[in-house]
Amino acid sequence: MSALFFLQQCLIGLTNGALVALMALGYTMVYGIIRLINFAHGDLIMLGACLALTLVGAFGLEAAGTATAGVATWLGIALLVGLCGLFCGLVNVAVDRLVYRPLRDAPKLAPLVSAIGVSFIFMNIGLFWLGPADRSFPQLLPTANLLPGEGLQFGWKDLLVLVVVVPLMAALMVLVKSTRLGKAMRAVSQDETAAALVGVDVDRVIAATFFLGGFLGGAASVIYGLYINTIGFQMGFQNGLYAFTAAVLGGIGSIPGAVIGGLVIGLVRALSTAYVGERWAGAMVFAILIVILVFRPEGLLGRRTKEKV
Amino acid sequence: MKRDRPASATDIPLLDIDRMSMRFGGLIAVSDLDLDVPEGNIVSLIGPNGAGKTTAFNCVSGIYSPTSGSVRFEGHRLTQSFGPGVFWTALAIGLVVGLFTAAAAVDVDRLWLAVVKRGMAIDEPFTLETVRRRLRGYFRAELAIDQMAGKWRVVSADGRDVLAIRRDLADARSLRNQLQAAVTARRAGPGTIPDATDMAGAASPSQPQALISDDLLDRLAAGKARVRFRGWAGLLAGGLLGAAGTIAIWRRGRRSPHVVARAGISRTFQNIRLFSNMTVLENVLVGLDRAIPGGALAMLFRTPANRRGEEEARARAVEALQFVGLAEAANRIAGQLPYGDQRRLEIARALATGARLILLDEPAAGMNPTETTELAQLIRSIRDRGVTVLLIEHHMNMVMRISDRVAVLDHGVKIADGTPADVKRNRRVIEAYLGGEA
Amino acid sequence: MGTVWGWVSDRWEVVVLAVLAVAPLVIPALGGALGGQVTTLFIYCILALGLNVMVGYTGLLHLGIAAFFGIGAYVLAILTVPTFPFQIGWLAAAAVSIAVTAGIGLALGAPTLRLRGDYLAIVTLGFGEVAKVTLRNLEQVTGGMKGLNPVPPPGAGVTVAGTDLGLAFAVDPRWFYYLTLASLAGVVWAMRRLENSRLGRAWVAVREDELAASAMGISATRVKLSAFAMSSAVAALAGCLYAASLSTTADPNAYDFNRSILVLCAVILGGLGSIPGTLLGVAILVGFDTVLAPWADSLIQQLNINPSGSSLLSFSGWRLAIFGIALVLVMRYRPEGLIPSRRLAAELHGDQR
Repeated sequence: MSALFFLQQCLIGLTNGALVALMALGYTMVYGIIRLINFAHGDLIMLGACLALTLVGAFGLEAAGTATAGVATWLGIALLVGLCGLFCGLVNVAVDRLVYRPLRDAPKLAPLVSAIGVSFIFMNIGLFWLGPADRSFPQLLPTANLLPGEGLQFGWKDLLVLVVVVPLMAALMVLVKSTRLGKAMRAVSQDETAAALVGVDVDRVIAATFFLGGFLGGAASVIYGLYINTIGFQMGFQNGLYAFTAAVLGGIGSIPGAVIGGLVIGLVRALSTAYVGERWAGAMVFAILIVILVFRPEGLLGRRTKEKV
Repeated sequence: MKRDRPASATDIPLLDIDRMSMRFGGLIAVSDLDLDVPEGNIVSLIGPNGAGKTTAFNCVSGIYSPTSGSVRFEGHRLTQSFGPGVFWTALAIGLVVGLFTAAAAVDVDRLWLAVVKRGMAIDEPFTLETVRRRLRGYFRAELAIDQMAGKWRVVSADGRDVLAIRRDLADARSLRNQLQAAVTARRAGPGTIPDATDMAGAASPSQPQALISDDLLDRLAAGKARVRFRGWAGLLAGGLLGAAGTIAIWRRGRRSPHVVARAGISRTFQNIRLFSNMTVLENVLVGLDRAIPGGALAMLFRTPANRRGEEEARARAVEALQFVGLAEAANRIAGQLPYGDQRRLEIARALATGARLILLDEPAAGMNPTETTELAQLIRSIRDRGVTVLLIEHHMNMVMRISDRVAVLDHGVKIADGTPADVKRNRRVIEAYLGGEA
Repeated sequence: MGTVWGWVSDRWEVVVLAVLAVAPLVIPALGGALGGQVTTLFIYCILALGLNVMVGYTGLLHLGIAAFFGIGAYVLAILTVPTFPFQIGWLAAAAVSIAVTAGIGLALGAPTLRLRGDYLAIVTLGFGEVAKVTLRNLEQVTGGMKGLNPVPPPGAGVTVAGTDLGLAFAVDPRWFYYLTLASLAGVVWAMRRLENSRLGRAWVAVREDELAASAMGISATRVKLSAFAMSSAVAALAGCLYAASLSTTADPNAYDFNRSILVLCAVILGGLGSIPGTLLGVAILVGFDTVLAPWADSLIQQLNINPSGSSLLSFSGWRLAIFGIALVLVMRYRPEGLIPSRRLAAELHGDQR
């Protein structure tokens, strides 16, 4: 258990964490704006992965034998990310329109339970799409190590995660900070009624948020497939659980919080897999969640919300 | 609900707000507010919208914690103090969490095997004494004897390493002692491996002979230090975490609305907050929650004390409803009452808690003139029952008619405080209301 | 007619109990496999009533009830199976199991129930998953994937009037039928009592408006904790009965998210906070899984609609989607459920209590 080993685990953890963070963003954005835990988000990502698998077959992207990935492969992956993102975004918007919007004024439990219902519907679709067994996702990228020397492993797949996740998050931050839509989103999240009064089209802003969250989820689904290489109709539950935990850990509703939370979860998982055993990794993440909730219930970067009286 | 006034009533005000400020981020909602509410008075807090009146109410009733300053009720701060109860709770929870993490750190599964399950295999009686002995053995990482498929095995305490297998129990025992001596010797320094030929005979096809090596003995020798370190580290870390967590949670909740309510301050809300799916009577009964004795079991079996408490509470609830004029509506659903009745129900519910001070947040909002007049009468009779009233209201007629004192807030700052007549003449008040340039 | 109907609808539980109590004497099938199925149905009813305390009365979304069900079953098993040296009596073991499970509920609730309500959903969901994995991983304690068995039947070793009760339980499923029916009746009775007591009012008050409740001097945290403990205890009772009636804890996957959700669906479908609604909801969902789905599948097979064996054309292939759509539709069009609780029914239809 040398320092190098530790470093390697951290590297794995951070890469994994970036992926978790990408998934967590979908939760945190939707929660931030309408205070809904979108239970279906994990299963939406699963649907995205289904589409990605189908598209990989349709595009004939399977060849990857060379030491470096060709331009065609990268273009293909970029196209996959775009298409799956679009697909998940649109599905998310449709679900919002059909299921959540009519329940805007209902008691809190109603949209939450509906979200569970939607997640079931997605799962059933995934079951038809993939079949009951796990499917392997083709290895599109070469397995060579990109770092010099034997010590640390950092392959093309890890690079892919960073290449996709970092720009997406940066773009999201810019969008939320400095565009009109971003300002409208922040306004709606602060006070829906007030935002409506000053002329913000609340329903459209919410739909846009669902689209963005879904888009990131769709992107995450492609990365997930390429990175983990196994997908199945039940993957949404586990991943959703981790991603949502990341969102809570970082401070739900906070976008940088989701990123930090994702990285923390990735690290905890990687380190406990290495030092305690993989079968206890979930329990460790859960223990960390409880500890955070005890000492900092608003999350690492979250702000205390005041209740309206 | 009649109460004797304490002798000290004349000395200190019932409610004493001292330099209280409330900030939300950069926004200062209430700034350095000083306000005394003498017992038996009706005091009104008025001011333009957004002046910080409701925020002040929320600070008093424990919904917000003021950023600075203090609120005293009958001379006491309305927070739970750090008493021995909190200390012992923190200690107990710390111990429980510590034991839990310690068990996890030394591997619950192996511990269970060593303490509970192995005894079954070798047919040892399960008594407190054997449990203690096996626990000690586990934490000393001593070798133990286990049974598998009719044969006796010498195993490490956690059962991970099988050192030898014997057909005969006595054989196994003597071998265990021999091996244990070798392991103990290792702890002091390098020693010899016990007679290797003997070991060879012990090995079974599934347990290769090369099993007992220097490495293994070293590992077993180090086992004691390792398991002890893990145990203590787990106990310490978990204990600290548990105790600190208890205190963190206590700190966060020590100034919560129910603490304030139990001290004797009750309130109504600007936007009515009834339990709208419950009946009118049930709403009031919730206010009487503490008047009914007995825990879950008492309620389950309806003990005489519980039943009597329940009956008395009902009688008091009906009385409170009669007081506000809602006795006929007792069995209606609260959410279906007309607006004015809902406001009065909120008052009845607040009175039912037995409060000595009641905070009314715009009780006349949305009422017609007749209802407002009735309300003014009701507020007076609340005071006549010995309950002090602090009121936020926009109906100036009513405020001026019933208040003993009026305080005026503007932009979070108190700009006037005095009798209704004084306040009416105050230039700054007029400016605040008319929006004149100061 | 009005008075007769009024009497029946006021005391529906007595009537249903009487019918169910007589049923095994009339329907011989209840002495066989059917009896076992009905026993399981009763156990689910108990579990759902436990969940109803949390979700229905107190309005807290609990997504991990199956974990408490499982813990209840496992604690009972640990204390009674011959693999371990404890082997205490069934009733004592059940009591310990209920107390331990309620304690675990308190331990989980204490740090999290003070927080915003939504966090509880994720905590219970995560706990459900972690509990399942832990039960699987602690192989020495829980038997891993094999579970613990044989769990002796209640009353093993107790001889009454010359018959060994344990043997009687093992031979005739009607013993379990009556045991679970009696437990269910007891739980319904207890829930009725609590509903109309101080605690029941406090639960509902916290659901309706937590802030207003605490401004009335109710410690919302304590009330929520009591609901959590009560839910856990009732779930543990169901777990004890489950392990005993199967004579094994089964493998830990029997206590996964799907089971939690099944029970949650039953409570929501039947009517949040409503005892008859909850029971009806369980009957419908369990009926769906054990009666309707197999029947529809065999019908599809007989009609030869699906010669290729595609899951798209089998009824049970749509199970998840049907549950999901049902949840969405119920939330949209009938959030109070099939049989709304009296507190909600009155609101919706203007009746007076």
